[in-house]
Amino acid sequence: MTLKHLISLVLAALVCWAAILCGCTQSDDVIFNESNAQHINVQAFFSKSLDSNTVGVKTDTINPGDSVIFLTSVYPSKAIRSRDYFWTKDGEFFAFEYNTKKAIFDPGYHQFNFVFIDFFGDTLIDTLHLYVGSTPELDNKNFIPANNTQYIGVNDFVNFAWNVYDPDSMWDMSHHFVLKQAKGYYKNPKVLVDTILYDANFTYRKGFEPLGAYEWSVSVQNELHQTAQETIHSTLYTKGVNSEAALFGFVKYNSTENTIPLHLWMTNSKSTLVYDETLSYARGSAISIKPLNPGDYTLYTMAKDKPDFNVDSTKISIVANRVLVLDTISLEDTTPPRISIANSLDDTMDYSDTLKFTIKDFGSKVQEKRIKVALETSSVSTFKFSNDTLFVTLPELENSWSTRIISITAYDYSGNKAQETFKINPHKSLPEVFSE
Amino acid sequence: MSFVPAKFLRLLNICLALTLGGLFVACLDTPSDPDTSGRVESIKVHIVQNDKVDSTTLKINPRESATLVAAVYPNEAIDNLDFFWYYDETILGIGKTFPVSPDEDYVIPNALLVADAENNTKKVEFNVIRKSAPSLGMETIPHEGDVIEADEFAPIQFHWSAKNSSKEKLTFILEIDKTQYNVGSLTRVSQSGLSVGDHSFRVIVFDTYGDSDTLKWVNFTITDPTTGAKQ
Repeated sequence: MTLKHLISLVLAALVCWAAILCGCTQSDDVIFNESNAQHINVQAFFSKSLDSNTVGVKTDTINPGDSVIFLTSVYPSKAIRSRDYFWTKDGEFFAFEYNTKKAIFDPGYHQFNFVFIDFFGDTLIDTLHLYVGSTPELDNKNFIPANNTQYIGVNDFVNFAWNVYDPDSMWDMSHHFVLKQAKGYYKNPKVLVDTILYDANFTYRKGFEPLGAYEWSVSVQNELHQTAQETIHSTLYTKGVNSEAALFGFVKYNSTENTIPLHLWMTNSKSTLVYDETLSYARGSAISIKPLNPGDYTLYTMAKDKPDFNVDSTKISIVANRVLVLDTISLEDTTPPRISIANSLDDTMDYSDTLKFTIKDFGSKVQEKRIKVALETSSVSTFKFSNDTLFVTLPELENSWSTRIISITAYDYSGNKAQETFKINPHKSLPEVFSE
Repeated sequence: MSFVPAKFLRLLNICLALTLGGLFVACLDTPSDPDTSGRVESIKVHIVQNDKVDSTTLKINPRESATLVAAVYPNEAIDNLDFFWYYDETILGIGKTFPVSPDEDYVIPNALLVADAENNTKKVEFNVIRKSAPSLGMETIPHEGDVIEADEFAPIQFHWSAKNSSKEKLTFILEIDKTQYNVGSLTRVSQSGLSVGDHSFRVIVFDTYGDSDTLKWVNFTITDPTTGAKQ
């Protein structure tokens, strides 16, 4: 063999190696052709039902032990060939199903991945975020200061404190604290404090009015926005100057009217009149009598110009520096309405298309819906009640040659019942009827 | 033109094949795993005080002696290691343990350097907290045996104090007649709703490390402000 042959041999060997190396990387068979590819997409959701049409969410918050529905969708279809699919929870295997419903007990943040491995081994993942937390609990029975605390000094610093329990011991909590003048005690109650706190206590240092009533309230939620079912609503009262005291009274009455005129007067133990006032009382508000010297009194309350209501008399004992809250004043109407023919004292009236009656009540008033009208045994619904007058429209009377009986029943707002019957004279004689 | 002997060509072919084969085998060859026997996976510092071992907060009572102890995992390796206790860049001691004296000025290490026979080193930093448990003062309002005239609407003032060796926040629980109130950092509150008769209260204080102190029950009596009656 010549050197020429040798060189040829080496060159041939190199060409073969090059061909082998190229063959490994240049096969047309492994070139990616986009037109042959199929797009696959997977989506995972939390849902309230297993219905695939339901609206799903990617993030949710639940209480420990609540069931969660895990839904998936695969594009173009779940029927496409795949190697595997499963759910993981915090990186650990969780479930095999596409859609599943499971209760989650452990509080905290959990990440759920739906993993889909397609026929070619490509992995597609969609992630869900779940916060599991227990709703905080607020003790609305034991708190400081207790409800109806009295004798708070006008310049006292008041420390408020309450008990909150977080069953999970893992979430920060915010406390909505409000301190304001008590509703009903003031015409335009002022808000003294309205704040969000991150501790279960608050110190108020800005002072109060003497002989005042103040409401404070607390509501609590954790950082997952889970709000405690319980709330605190409490009232405190401040003391007076020079041992003076005050009376706040709430009046109960049954009436259609939201505001009634009240006459109030108060006598001391020697029957000396110490207070006399007529005012317009709005339902739910408080009458305020202050300042008062300590001692025994009798408070009289009467609804002015409404004689059907009784006069309430309440014996009270006023203690120095204390605000007495009286919620036992009650005006009761035990007298039924009066029913009569309008502008008449008679019990008989002539027939007319529209009959007029008067229904008067000097207490809790009558409403149209509490009136019933009947012609003998037949109920009549064609009536209107306005300004104490009842208008009853009757159709052409059958048997109009005879006397008819109409009865009216009315209840006042306190439930007192009145019922009256009246005669309607015939408006045609029997021969007239027969002649027609 | 010269001739090459056939033997030489055969030898050349064999060499070429061996070279290519060798190259191919060399590509497939991977280095063996390093020797991991005797490797220390973790190093921790414990504190032992009054026979109690603390490896989490590293908190000690400054009024009592304690010992810092080096711990390694796996434990078998500990005898082949050297331990150097540092405060910043200064070596304070050598050995598996370091004694801490009950002295406020005593310098406590803040790092442990561990070295093996091949002089491989690893440094672990830590912070020892010198702090005693909070303590409640004996003086309270009401005092033991106090008699207070008040009706059930009157706010009764409760006041106490606590000492803490650091400035961190203390939290208190006020317990009045078995009802507990978490009062946070407040040391003075007024509570109403206490009926005429005998009552008692106590306070429990906690620091952020969970150390606590509990006041013994303080007994007091509420009497009717108008009659002075206890019942």
